[in-house]
Parts: sequence; C-alpha cells; structure tokens
Amino acid sequence: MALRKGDGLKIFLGLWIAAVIYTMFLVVPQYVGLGDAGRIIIVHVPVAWITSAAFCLSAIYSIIYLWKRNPASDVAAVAAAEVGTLYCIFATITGSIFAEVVWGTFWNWDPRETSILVLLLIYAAYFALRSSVDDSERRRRLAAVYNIFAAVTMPFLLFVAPRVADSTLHPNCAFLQGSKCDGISLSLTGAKIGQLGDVVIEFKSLVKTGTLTHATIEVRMPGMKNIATLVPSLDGDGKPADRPEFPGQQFRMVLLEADATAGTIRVNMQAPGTNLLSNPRTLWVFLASNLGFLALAFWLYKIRRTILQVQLTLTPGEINI
Amino acid sequence: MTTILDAGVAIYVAMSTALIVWVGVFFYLLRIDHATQDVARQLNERTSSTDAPAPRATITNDRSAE
Repeated sequence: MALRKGDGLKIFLGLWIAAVIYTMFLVVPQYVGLGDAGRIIIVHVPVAWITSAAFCLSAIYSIIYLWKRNPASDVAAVAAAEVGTLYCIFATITGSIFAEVVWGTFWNWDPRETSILVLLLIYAAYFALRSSVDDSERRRRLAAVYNIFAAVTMPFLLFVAPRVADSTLHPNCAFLQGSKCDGISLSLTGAKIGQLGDVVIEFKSLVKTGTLTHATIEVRMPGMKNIATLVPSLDGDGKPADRPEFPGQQFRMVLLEADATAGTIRVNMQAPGTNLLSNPRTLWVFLASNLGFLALAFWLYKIRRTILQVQLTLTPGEINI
Repeated sequence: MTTILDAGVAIYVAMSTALIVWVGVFFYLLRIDHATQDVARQLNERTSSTDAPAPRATITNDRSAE
C-alpha cells in the first residue's frame, strides 16, 4: 500500500496509540488491589467520554439539518452517531471485562451497566428508524428529531443516573478525582439495613475497644451467594483502620464515622485503585490515551462521512443511510 | 514449563495481542481511507465534467440569409 501526501498525521496517530498500548501495559504501575487488570481503565474511560462527545456532535448536526435542510448535515449526524455507538460498544466491553475482574461477573445489572445498555438501545432504535422510512426527506427529518431527543437522554444515562443511584458499584468515587461518595448511614435504633452497591448490609453492633471502634456488619452478596460478617474499625483520630474485603470481591468496606453513644455509623464501599491518577505516569498515559482515542474517533467519523456522502451523491434519496 | 498465561509472561502476551490487533485495524482503516478518498475524488471529477455548459445553437426559420 503506497503512502500518500497527508498520511503523515495518520501514521503519527497509529504510532501514538501503539505507544499508549505499550505504556499502558509496561510503564503504568499496577493498581493496588486490581493488579494488571486495572490497566483497562486507561482505555475504558477515554472511550466512554468520547462516546458522549460523538453523540453530542451528532445531535448538533441534526439541529443544523432541521434548520438548513441540507442532506450533508444529516450525513454528518449519521456518521457521528455511528462512531459514538461503536465507542459505546467498546466502552461496554472493556467495562464488562473490568467488572469480571473486580465484581466477579461480566454483567450484574448494575445501574451503570444498565444505563449504558439503555443508551445503546436508544441509538440502535435511531438506526432502525432510519432504515424503516423509505421517503428520504421524511426519514432525515424524523431521524433528526429523534436524534436530538436521544442526545438529551445521553448525559442522564451516562453521567447522572449512575451517580445518583446509591447502589452502583461503578467506581466513580475511586477513579474520578473530586467525586464524592458519602456512603450510607445506619443506626442500631433506626435503619439497620442498607445497601452498598448491590450488597445488602445489616448493622449488628458497635463496640469501642481502647482507641478503636469496631462495627459488626453482616453482608449479603447478590443472590445470597455469600453471607459474611465484616468488622471494619475506626481509630482514635476518626480515621478508618481495618477495611475488610467483601467476600469474593476486591472492594473493601470502610467505616467513615461512628458514634458509640448514639449507636450510629456511616460506612462506604472502597474500590481498589483509589486516587490512581495521582501517579504521574498513570496520569500522562491516561491523557495521551484521551488524545489518541479522540483523534481516532475523528478519523473514523471523517471516513464514514465521506462514504455516506459518496452514496448520497450517487443515489440521492435511494439509500437508507 | 512456562506457558503464555504465567504471571511474568501474560502481560507481554496481552500487550502483543493488543498491538497486533491495533496494527491490523490501523492498516485496514488507512486502506479504507485511501479508497474512499479515491472514490470521492473521481466522483467530484465526473460531477464537475458533467456540469460543464453544453454547446448552444439557435434554430430559426429566417431564410432571408439564403
């Protein structure tokens, strides 16, 4: 294959992503508790946010189409939606691999997993809608309106829903600096039972031994597969001391607050790999990965837009794109 | 016996696999990119050649010139 003028940037992109893959495996340090499997974050997170950027771009072109009625804008909207869907599938697969390592299952209907599946179905319906209308002008108009509504749901499904859900196992708090997860409060005299992730927990007792305060908590794993008693503790300075591991998972239970007189506690689930971006090597590779996958998305978008534009020129109105 | 799933080797195997897949995807994309550029260019050339103004002639019934 002969190289052409203008291929320089593309070859640079190829080498850039190859370097990201190399550094992801051999330069970035292992994440505490996750081992080598945690390296998938370097790909998973950039791919996930570029998904949202692609869907936003698609919606913008749909708005432009409805305004100017230029088929080229519709073509651009389709190309961006296709790239977004491709990245969304990739984010789902990489997330699922991560889930298998950390949660012990590829799919457990966690709010984050469910919301990304709903998003995929919404965009699958967009393509189904396009192929179901024969009249090209009507198809473009309907698809553009639908695409705008789809893009409105996207931030809720990708960013809001998983964060407001108390029961998500997705490690927002662990991996996104500045994110805040408060955990849940339980009381011996009030609400004794709560849920952390998809684990049901029951507050049994609170004992103060010397400077340490121990809470005894019974945990029931999803499907009642495992029932265990964990005893996290708090030291005299109010900092978490013992952080027992949930049975069969690499998440730990952490006692954040305890009031022995009132019989109340606040507990949370802590993911391994917390503050991983504070490591400079990880941070730089992560940023390089973001740039690389963004450029790749743009390239894919450009190729697909050209193909659709050619189809449109050859057979205007006859191809269901 | 050392296998590809041993802890010390597995990470190199995973990296090599990811790199091979990426190289394959990259050259496939580059090829598609070239092909689409060619088609788009040829189409533009054909469109611009068909857009050229057709020769014009005026036919009248005026025989005074004969």
